[in-house]
Amino acid sequence: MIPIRDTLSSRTVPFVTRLLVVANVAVFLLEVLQGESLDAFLQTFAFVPQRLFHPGLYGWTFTDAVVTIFSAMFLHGGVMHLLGNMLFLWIFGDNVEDALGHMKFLVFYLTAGAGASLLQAFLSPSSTIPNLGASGAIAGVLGAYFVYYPRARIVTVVPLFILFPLVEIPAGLYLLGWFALQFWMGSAQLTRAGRAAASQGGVAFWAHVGGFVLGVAWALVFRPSRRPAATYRIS
Amino acid sequence: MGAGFPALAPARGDVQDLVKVRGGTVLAWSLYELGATSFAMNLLSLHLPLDIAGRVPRGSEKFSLAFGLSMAVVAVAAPFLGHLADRAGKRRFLVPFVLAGVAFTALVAAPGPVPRVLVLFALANIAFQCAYVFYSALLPDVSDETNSGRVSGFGVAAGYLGSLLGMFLVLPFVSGKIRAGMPSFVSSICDALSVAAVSSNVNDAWVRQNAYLPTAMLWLAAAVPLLFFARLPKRTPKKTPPPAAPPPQDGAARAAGSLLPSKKSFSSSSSPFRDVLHTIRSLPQTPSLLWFLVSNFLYIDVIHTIQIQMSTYSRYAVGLNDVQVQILLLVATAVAILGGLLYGLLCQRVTIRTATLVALGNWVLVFALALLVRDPKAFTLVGVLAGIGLGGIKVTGRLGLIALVPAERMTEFFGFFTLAGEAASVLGPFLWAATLTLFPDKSPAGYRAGLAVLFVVLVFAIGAFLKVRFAAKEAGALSRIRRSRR
Repeated sequence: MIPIRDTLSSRTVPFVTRLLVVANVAVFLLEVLQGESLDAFLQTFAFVPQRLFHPGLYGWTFTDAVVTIFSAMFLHGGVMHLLGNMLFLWIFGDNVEDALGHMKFLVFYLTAGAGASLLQAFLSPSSTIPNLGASGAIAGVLGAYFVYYPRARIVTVVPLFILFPLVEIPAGLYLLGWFALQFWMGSAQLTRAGRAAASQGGVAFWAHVGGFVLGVAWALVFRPSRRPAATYRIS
Repeated sequence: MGAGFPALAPARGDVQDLVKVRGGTVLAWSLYELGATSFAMNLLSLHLPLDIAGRVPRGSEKFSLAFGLSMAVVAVAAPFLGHLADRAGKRRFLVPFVLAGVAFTALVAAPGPVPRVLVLFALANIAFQCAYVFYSALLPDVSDETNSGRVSGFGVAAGYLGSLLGMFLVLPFVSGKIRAGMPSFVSSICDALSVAAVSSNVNDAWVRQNAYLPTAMLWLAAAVPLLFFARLPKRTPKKTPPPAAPPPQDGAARAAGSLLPSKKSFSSSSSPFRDVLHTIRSLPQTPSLLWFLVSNFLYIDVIHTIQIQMSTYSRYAVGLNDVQVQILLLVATAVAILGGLLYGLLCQRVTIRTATLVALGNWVLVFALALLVRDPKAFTLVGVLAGIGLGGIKVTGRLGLIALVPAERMTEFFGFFTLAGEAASVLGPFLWAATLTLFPDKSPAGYRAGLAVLFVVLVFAIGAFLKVRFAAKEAGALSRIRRSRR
C-alpha cells in the first residue's frame, strides 16, 4: 500500500522538510555525476559499522567515522530508494515539523537517523557493508507521527490486479502495519537463511525498527511546541 | 485504533468512565498478559538463563548481573514514567515500551557474543518491566469496584496460561526431536524462523537461542488488541483547579477511604521530578503505604529472584535435566493459573491483608521445602506450591496498592510499586550472584546458600507487611474500600 497523502493540514510552511527533500535529491544528483568514481564516493561518505569501532584499520579517526553517520543519511542507492524515502518524508514530515517546530524537527530528524544507524552498527559491529539512506531518520518521523496524529488518515493506493483504488487508512493502523512489516522482515534477517542473504547487503530493517521506536520515544518525551491541527482536510 | 490515544491529553485531568467496561476490553487486557508472560517464561525463567549459563563460565552470575542492572534502571525510571503516564495517558506510554521490548527481544536471538546478548536482554527487560507498570495501572480502567479482584485474577491466570503457551510454542524451535515429530508444515515454519540449526540426533541439546524470536512475535501479536483496539475510559480536562489538599494524615485520610490525598497541591506545570520527590517526602506521613512498599520491596525481591533462578536452581542444586526442568516449570505455571484465580476469589471474600499473609505463608513453605527436598520427583511439589504462590502474590500485590492509593494517582504509585518491587529485583539478583561467587561454579551448596539468604529477606518482608493497615477490614475489602470513598 503506497501512501499518497495524509488528510491533516499543516499550519506552517514545512521548510525544513522541503530543504531535507531538496538536499537528498541534490546529493543523489551528485552521486549520479560521480560516474565511475561512485563506488569510492559511497565508500567515503556512507556509514561502515566496522569503521566506527576500528577507525584505525582504515586510517580514519573516530570523528571521521561519526561524520559518516550523518553524511550517509543523504545518500541513496537508487532512484526508487530515493523516491520511496522522499515520498514518506514529504507526507509525514510536514505535520511532525508543524508539531515540533522547525529547529527541533531538524535535530529530531538527525538524531533519529543517527540512532537508527548506531543500532544497526551495534548489531553487526564488524560489518564492512556501507549503510546509506534516509530510512532510519524517516522511520523516526513516522514514529513521531504515530504518537501525535494516530487519528489522521492516510490516503493509500492499493494495487488490485489492474485496479488501483484509493483507500483511507487510520494513520495509527497504517504505521503499526508498517512497523510490523519491518519487524517481520528484520526477524527474517536474523534467521539462518536470512543471515546469508543479509550478509550480501539489502535493506537495514532493524535500522527502521530502531528509528521508529526512537521517534515514538522522542515524541512522548518532548511534547509538541504547538498543538497539532484539530481540523482535517476533507478528502 | 483511535480510541487508544488520548491525543495530546491535557496536562491534568480526571479519569472518567465514559465507556462502559466491556468483556472485550477485559479480554484485550488479559490477552496482553498472556503474550507478555511468554517473555517472562522464555527469557527470564527458562531458556535465556540456561542458555547463558551453558555458553560461558559463571553464566548464571552474569545473567543475574545483567538482570539486576536492568532492574536498577527500571527502578529509577518507573516512578517518573508512572507520574508522566498519569498525566498523559497510560496506553500512550505502553505502546513505545512494548514496541521497543518486542524489537530487543527479537534481537536477543541474533547470533553474537554473550556480552552483546546480555545488553540486548537488559534493554528488552527494561522495556518489558516498564510496559508492565503501565499495563498494571490500567486495571482500574478495565474493571470496576465490584469486579477488580476477579479481573486481576483473570489477568494473572491468563498470564500463566501465556507462560505455558510461550513454553509450548517454542519447543519445536529449540528441540530437534520435538520438531521431527511435528507435521511438516510446522517443521517448515520452525526451520524458517530458526536462528540456529537443530539436530534431532543430539540428546538434550536444545538450541535455546531459537526461542526468542517466536517469543517476541507472540508478545507483539497478543499486545495489539490492548494497544490499538480496546476501548478505555477517555480522559477529560478538569475545569477548575483542585483545592489544596490538607497535609495527609493517616487517620484522617483513612476516614475518607484513602490513605493519600486524591489530589496534590502542586501545579501541573511542576516537573515530574519535583512531584515524585514530593511524593517520596510525603510517604512517612502515610505509614501504611510506606510499610506496604517496604514489604513489597522485600518480598518481590525474593520472589522475582526465585522466579528467574528456578530453572538454574533445579538444574544445578537438585539435579534435574532439561526435560525435568521444563516439566517443573510447566507444572508450576499451570498451577499458577489456578493460584491467580483462587487468590482473586479469596480477595473478594477476605481482607487483602489476610490474603497477602496467606500468600506470604505459602512462600515460606516453598522456601523451607526447596531447601530440604533433594529428590527430583518430590521437588515437583515445591514447583506446585511456588506456582500457587506466584499467582497469589501478583493478585494481592496489585489489589493492595489499589486499596491504598486514589485512582487518579494510580500509575504514579504503580511506578512506586515498581520502585519498591523492581528495585528490589536489583538487590535480589546481586545477593544471589554474590552468594554464588563464594562457591565453585555451578555448586549445589552455592545455590542452596543463595536460597537461604533470600529466605531471610522474606522473613523481613513479612515483618514489614504486618505493620500495614488497610482502610476496611471486613470481607470483600476492596469493593468496600471503593464504596466508602463515595
